[in-house]
Amino acid sequence: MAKKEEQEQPQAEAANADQSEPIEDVKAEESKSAKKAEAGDSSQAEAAKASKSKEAKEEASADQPEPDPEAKSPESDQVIKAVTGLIGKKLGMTQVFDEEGRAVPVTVIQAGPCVVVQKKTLEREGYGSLQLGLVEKAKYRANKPVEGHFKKAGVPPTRHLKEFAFSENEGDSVKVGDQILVQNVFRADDRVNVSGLTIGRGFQGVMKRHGFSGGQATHGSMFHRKPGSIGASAYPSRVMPGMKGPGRMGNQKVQTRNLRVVQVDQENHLLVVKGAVPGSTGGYVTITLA
Amino acid sequence: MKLVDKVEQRHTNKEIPEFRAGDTVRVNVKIREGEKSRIQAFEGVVIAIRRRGLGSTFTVRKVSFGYGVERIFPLYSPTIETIQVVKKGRVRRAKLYYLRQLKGKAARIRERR
Repeated sequence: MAKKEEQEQPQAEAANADQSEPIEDVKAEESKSAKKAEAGDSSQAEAAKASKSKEAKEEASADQPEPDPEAKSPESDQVIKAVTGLIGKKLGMTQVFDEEGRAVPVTVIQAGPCVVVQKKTLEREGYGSLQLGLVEKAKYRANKPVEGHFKKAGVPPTRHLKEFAFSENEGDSVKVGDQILVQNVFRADDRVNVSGLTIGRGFQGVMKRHGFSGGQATHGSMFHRKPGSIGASAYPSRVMPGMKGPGRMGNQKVQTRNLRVVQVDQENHLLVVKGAVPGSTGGYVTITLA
Repeated sequence: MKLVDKVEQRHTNKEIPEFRAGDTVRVNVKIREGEKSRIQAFEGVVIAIRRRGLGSTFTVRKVSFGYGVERIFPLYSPTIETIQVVKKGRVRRAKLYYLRQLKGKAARIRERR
């Protein structure tokens, strides 16, 4: 709810501010297209862009990423409403202290930078969505068909692609080839959903997999970790569908919902959320606004 | 530097005096009472230090009105105003849980120079 106001404000500000300043980032050499249509591709604009973005960077790193729209420097920090999520990499868990001195368990996620690879529209695909790719250091050698797909967007191939819903009437604020940073999507105190693949546990018994209580360990019970009865005999003479049994556990897509964003580190593209998220450290997750 | 550490950095640059198990310390804790905040001291023997980076804690034990009182403090907690080392103790263990069974004269700790 607070989100709404935050989003409105920077945009209003931006309207008064310098219109010709496009969104930029250090890694944005490849995202050739500028954020605003007004900004031409003249070399002058490019230079201005670079210097301005540097300033913005410094300003941003100087003050902590508090959700203060007034303090926000130009447009690169602005929330782009059309983008509802990002791809990220789980970096691990730690704790931070809040204003009251309480320790808050947090997960650190490297969220983005992402590039818009494709825009799906109602007319063409039947639904509106943004296809984002996660920009990483490691080079991705794509095969020809994949390469072609990225060529259309004018961005280097990325290993991870994910679609995020967006509404058509917001469509003009993002273009194919645009770079999306953490601060363009999330602010501290936002609520987010994080989904990813849980850690694979292999073939597990019913006690670990379904929390069955098992039998006693001693006193000669001879019944330790077994599932027990799985149904009656004469009728129905079969096992009911959906009966819980041993089997593969983990490696499933799971979503943790409604996590609070504790901190947004623009400099390092970090998103710090309260609580745990699925998967192991180094695993890829998708973060969407709740 | 790992990126996770960057998040922790905000808290780990706090200045903390060196102390070990067996030392007597006075921990000045910030306490908020509604609007006002004041500082309360807790003085006792450090019986354990659990080193886990930002999650480090230490346990201080004192005997108050005949009852043993132990408090576990997060080392990097902002509620800790200062830590003063009152006395250095010479002990032969890292964890002094045996002190819980001792009282009076037996619970004394030799001073370290």
